Formats: sequence, C-alpha cells, structure tokens
Amino acid sequence: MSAEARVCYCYAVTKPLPPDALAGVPGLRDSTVDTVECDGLAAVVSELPAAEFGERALRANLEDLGWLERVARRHNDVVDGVARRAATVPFRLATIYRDRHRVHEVLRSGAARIGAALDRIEGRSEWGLKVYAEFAEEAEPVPPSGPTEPPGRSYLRKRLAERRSRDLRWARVEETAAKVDESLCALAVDRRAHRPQSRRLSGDSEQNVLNVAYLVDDADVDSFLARAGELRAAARGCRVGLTGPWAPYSFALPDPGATGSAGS
Amino acid sequence: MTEPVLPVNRTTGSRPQAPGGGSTGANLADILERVLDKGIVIAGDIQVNLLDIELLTIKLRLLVASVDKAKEMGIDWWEHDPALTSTPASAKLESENRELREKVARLEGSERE
Repeated sequence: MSAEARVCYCYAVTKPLPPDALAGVPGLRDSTVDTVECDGLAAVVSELPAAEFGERALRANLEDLGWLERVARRHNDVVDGVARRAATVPFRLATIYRDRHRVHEVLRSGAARIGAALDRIEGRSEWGLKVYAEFAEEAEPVPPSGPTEPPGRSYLRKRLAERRSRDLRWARVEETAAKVDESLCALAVDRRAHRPQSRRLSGDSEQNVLNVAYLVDDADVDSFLARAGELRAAARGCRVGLTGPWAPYSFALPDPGATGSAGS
Repeated sequence: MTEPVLPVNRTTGSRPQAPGGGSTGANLADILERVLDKGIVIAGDIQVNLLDIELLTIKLRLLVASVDKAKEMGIDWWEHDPALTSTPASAKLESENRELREKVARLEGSERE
C-alpha cells in the first residue's frame, strides 16, 4: 500500500498534554513527536520507517554501536523534553508497535500499572550519584627494614605493608561512600542501586565504588543539591559525582526487592 | 483529552542542575544504563533481544583489536561503558553472553589485577 511502511516508536508515558506541547521536541530521525491518548494516559510516540526500526532492521542496527548511541541519546533527549513538561515514565529503549492502534491497546490494558508508576514519580526527579576511589596518590610510606634483616623478609614486609595500606584506603572509601549515600538518602523518597561502572572498560584510573539513583521531591531538590555539594567538598580519598535531573528511569518499575527504598 | 496537565513544578524557573553537569552533560554510559536497563518494560510488537549492555560491550571489545587502535579510529564512547547485566531475554542469549565473557576474560587475563 504505502511506499514506506511505518512503525510506532514509544518514548514514554505521561498524562495528556496541551496541543503542541511537544512541538519543540525533535524525535528520532528528527521525526514529529506526538501522543496516543487513552484513559488519562498519553504515550509519547514517533512514527518511523520500518526500513530502519522494523524487526529485521532493528536487529542489525542494534549491533551498530554508532546507531545505538545516536538512538539512545535522542531517546533520552525526547524523554527529558517530556519530563520538563509533565510527570513522565520512560519506556525502555526500542519499545515499538505496529501502529498507533496497538499503542492505544497497550495503554488500555496496562493502565493500572502505568498509572501507578506515574503517581509514584509525579513531582519528583531522578538524580544519579557516583563515588569513585582516588588511588592515584602514592602508597603510604613503608617503615624501613632493620639493618640486619634478610632481603627476602624485607620484601615480604614491604608487600604486607602495601596491602594493609591499600585495604585501609579501601575501607575509608567505602565508609565515605556509605556516609554520602546515607546522607542523601535522607533527602530522597526512594533509592535504587546500579551496578558500579567498570573501570576496565572505562580506562579510568578511578574505581567506581558506588552508583546509585535517588528519587527526589521537587520541593527537596535545592537542599539535596546543597547537601551533595557539601559532601563532595568534604570527601577525602574519593570523588563524588552527581548527574541529573533525569526522568525517573530507575523508578519506572516498583522496587523489585521492596527492601531497598530509602527513608522518609 | 481531558484536563491538560500543567507542567510539573520542577522548581521554579530554570531546572536545577547538578554541580558539574546535568543529564545533558551525562556520559553515554549513564544514558545507556538507563535507556537499556531501566524504564518501563512492556512487550512491543517488535521483539529484540539484543538489549544487554554487557553483551554489547563485549562484542565491541572482541571487534576492536585494541583500545589504542580504537582511539586512533576515534571510537571511544564505549570507554565509559559500564559492564552491566540485565536479564537476558533468552537462555540462548545468556549462554552466548557467558561464552563471550569467558573469552574476554581469557584474552584479558594478563591485564587483570
């Protein structure tokens, strides 16, 4: 029928928006971003060529890391653009339906679950915290060996002292990370731990020891940021990095463990 | 549809930003760990399995001869790539993932601490 078959790519779900609310938000491939609405929910979508986002093409494209990067960034930009306007629950990347009618069906059948997710994050944003160990500095000085000590023993003593020193610094970093986490938790309504980012792959000399996301009430953002700034300035032996605000990606689903949620 | 929702009060005026960069300045690893592994999961009509960030990373590592070579070629975004696991969509993917990881571990055995 049509020369170019299309599929419906979903970025996020929000509540119905005023017309043209998303006019300034460019979608994937600079497509138009609009909504499919059902029962007080609005899926934020773009209609995209099946030649690029259909099943067959998608399999191949996801292996193309340049393609993946462009799509991941734009997906995030759209989600972020929507989140600036209203409470938004992001979809996982590459959630794609045959057409708008199917999106409508999905909203209808998932209304309870999606509505609950929206309620959970309304008026809140996600902030990312990463704590890195800074081990660039020299090892603590090793006490000199006695004049009569055999070289073998001296070597072992040196190794032992180095290991103790390293263990001590690790313990300090972990302690600091736990304190920072605890302190920020007190200003957040929820918390999710992410896996630390790999140093082997990052090529970074700093080891990521803590990677967490917090869900923060808009009313508490200023105090949260102020406290994060203080903790960053006070941190010794480690670096404290904060990113945000993010759309609440990490809080789109209920806490699987139901035990990791933060206080307050 | 009914009653348009007012923009959420993300504090007044400009959005607060994290000192040292907001999500706009976030590295690709931060973005990928969210868009690939987080967000609401509802099965789409188009089923793709390859959303395991660790598998992607490993495939890339095998593809690229060495870190330095990749840098020469200007391919470096994955330098900030976290090795994350998400639930593999199938047992097949899981075993492929495991095999690749073992292969990488062997290849990089000497680099490890």
